[in-house]
Amino acid sequence: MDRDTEQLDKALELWQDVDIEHPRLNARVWARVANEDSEPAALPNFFNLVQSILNRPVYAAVFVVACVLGGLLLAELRVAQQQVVRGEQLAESYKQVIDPLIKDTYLFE
Amino acid sequence: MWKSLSVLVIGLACGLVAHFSYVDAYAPGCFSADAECEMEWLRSELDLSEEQFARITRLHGDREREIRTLSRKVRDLELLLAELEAERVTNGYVDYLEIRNYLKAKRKLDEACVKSTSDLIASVGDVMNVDQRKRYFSIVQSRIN
Repeated sequence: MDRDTEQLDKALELWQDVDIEHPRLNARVWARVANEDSEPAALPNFFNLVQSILNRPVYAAVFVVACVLGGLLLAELRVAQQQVVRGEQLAESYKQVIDPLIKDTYLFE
Repeated sequence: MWKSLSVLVIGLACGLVAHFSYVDAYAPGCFSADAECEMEWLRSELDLSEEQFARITRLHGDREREIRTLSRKVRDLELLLAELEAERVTNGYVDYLEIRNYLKAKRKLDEACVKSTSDLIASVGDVMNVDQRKRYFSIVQSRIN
């Protein structure tokens, strides 16, 4: 870590010879490094956000309720689709039951 | 960290349980391909009363033998046609008299089938009220003559 600090110090000193606008470059870089150290960014920002939201009991409860409602909504859509498909199949097979001209008539077999 | 992870897991687990319970409870019950299934479906589709359902089931039951016999005749005629065609392909021989008989029998059988189906549809429709009949006819529309 100390070696890294030394290397960073040397790199920052090199910038003093460069003829461009870089007011308080040294201070800004070290402030940023300090900030990163105090907030371990092991997780990306999104996960940090999720974590901070789910840590609050109210939002955690809202999340669980939303999951339940989402599951129910998807289930309703799935059941509705199944019923449509099944209805079409049964309509076709009912026609087979009443019409001997359609193949595979199997009335009350 | 662990707290939010456990909330995530609990939420997803609750969602899955709700999903599968709902599907289990409300998915179409009858998945087999038999006549009972179709009658049950017809009952729920047309919102038939117990009495209507009993009468309609009886009407279908009464026609069962006739439809089965006609169906068998249709298959026999198809077999006869296949034999005639095989003979034409293998021996190059066409029995026109047999074909004429086939066509005559086929026409007669088709008429009998159409009449049988139409009679059944009409008698089943008579048991229903106007709305039910309208819905029923829309289901069997292609079979009405």
